[in-house]
Amino acid sequence: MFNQKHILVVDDNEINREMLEMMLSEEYDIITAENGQEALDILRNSSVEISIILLDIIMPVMDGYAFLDEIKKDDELSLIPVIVMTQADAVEDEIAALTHGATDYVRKPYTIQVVKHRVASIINLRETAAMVNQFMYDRLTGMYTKEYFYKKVREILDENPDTNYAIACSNIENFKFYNDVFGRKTGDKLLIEAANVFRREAGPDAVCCRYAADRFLAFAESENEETVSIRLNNAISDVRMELLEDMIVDVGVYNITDRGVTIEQMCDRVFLAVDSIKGVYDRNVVIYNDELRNRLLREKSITEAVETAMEEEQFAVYFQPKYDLKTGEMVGAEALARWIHPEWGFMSPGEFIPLFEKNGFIKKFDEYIRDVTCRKIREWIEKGYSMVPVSVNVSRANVYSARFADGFCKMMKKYNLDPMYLHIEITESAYTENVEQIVSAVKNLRENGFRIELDDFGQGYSSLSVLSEMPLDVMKLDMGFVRSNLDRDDDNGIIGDVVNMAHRMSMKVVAEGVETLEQANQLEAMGCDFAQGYYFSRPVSADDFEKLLIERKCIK
Amino acid sequence: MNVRECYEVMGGDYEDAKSRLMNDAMIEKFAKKFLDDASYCQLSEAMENRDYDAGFRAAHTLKGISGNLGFRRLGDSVSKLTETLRRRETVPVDAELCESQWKQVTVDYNSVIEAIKQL
Repeated sequence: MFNQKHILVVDDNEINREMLEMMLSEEYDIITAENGQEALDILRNSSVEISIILLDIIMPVMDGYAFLDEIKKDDELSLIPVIVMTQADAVEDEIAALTHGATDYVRKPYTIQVVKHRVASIINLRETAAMVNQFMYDRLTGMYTKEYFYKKVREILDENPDTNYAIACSNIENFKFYNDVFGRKTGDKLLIEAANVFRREAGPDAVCCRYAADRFLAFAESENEETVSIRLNNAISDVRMELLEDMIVDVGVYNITDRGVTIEQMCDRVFLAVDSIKGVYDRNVVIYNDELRNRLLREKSITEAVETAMEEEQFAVYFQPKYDLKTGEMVGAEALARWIHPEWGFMSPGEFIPLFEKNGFIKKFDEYIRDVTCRKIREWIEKGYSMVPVSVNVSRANVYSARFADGFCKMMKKYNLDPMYLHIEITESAYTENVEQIVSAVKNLRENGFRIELDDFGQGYSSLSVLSEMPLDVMKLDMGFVRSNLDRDDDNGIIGDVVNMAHRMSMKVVAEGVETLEQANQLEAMGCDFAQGYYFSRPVSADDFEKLLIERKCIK
Repeated sequence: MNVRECYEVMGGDYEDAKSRLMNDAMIEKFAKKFLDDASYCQLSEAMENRDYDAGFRAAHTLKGISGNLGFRRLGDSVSKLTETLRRRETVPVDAELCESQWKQVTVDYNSVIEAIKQL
């Protein structure tokens, strides 16, 4: 029959063997051996998994005791339960067998029900224990599981109140990428390798576990921070050499200073540390400290404050006007988010936007800013001002939403607006991540009448293919890019060329961050169409912007 | 002779054997295997050579089989011999006692064999 469990019967007497076989063969596969040595050979050379061993004690060649002693030495074999066959009047044999490591005994003459029950219950018990064992070890790497790690660390900490310990965590940057590129199998192999290196570098006394995916944890006695740091750095370069040279492994360390928190919380601190250098390519080791903690706490409180901020309307929309460099006329504005917190005061978008992107709040936030902007535009149109288009920023996280364009169309309906009044600014970095999706999103928006502005051009790595593949209306030159190029003396600065190129592609060009008249003149000379910046106007509140609209009406 | 009669003749416990081996056919099958079992011969050889270690092992085995097959009378006598031999490590074996116990085993063994042969 399939899937029957295997029992190894070890007895030198044929009648005894056959009797057990007769009793058990209905439910089990019986393998027999005539003495301890033969049984050992079977256990070591056969691929069959033995669930239980029924062992006679008195045998020639190798008796039951010697056999028990042998299998005790073998990690794997010692896990197989052994029932010793004794005789009713020989209690010493039973005691001796149990002290040699037997699991239980059955007396001769056999009572068929006793034999059957004892075999079944011991197999059962052992399998349950084996399941517990599975939870103890991670299947892929053979490291402890996190649950077992927590337990073990707690024990060690409790037993050694005066020893200093640290927890380290490794993180392979962008591991998903390796899985995607090389396939799951290779990814798994890489993980096993990484686990081995990690375990080796952590030292023989460390308790290691696989926390999740590519995250390994090590708990060990801690030396001073510097030593730990140097050792880890060396370990990391070893890991790289052995695995893939371009693989980036980050390590975070937490020296356990506060034993009052749970092991989970200690691990969280290690994770906070290691996550703080994610994407920071010149730093691979970080030690958790209070500064890091405070920064993270601040980030946490910011994240927690957003819902209230939204309800209490702490977010305000400011408008920074854009001007035509030739005529000096205001031709548009950019809607910018401001957060004025009752306690913390004015908060820079640079501080909170990345956090919103991280926790997903950015979607709601973008929508909110967009809504307020549209409401204002509607209001100003109602008031009869000659309205200029206002551009809103879209986080790259939102561009990938399937209903990205829908959201804009709904907003137009809600406020009964012509899409010409709303320009959409998309950063170049969005383009580098998922080309197809963003190109199709942008096309969709343009088909619905929106104008698309490419934000931050010249910041970081600018791609020319973004210009050729995406249908764009306006190119916004990054502030830093503008300033650094205008400061140089050569007339043939790259800005002029970029402007010409943009024009040939039927784009208008806006320069950001213009601070002086001189810069404005230079940009105009280069053919730049529009400009925004402190030279013209800082971002102003809706009320102040309304005044600008009124003035504009007067000018007209 | 049927199985029950066979057990009566040899001084066996038929009910005990049946509880273990389920039916007459199975009892008969195992009883006939006993005709070929080597443990009595091994015991006999060991006793002749006064090799009490080998004697103990063989007696122990024979006792186990007798118990399992329900050969009560043989089981009782071989059990006595086994205990005498078991003590060999702590006290010198009483050769006389041993000899008389061994004789009884031989008698009981022969009666078991004779009975089985008549099945």
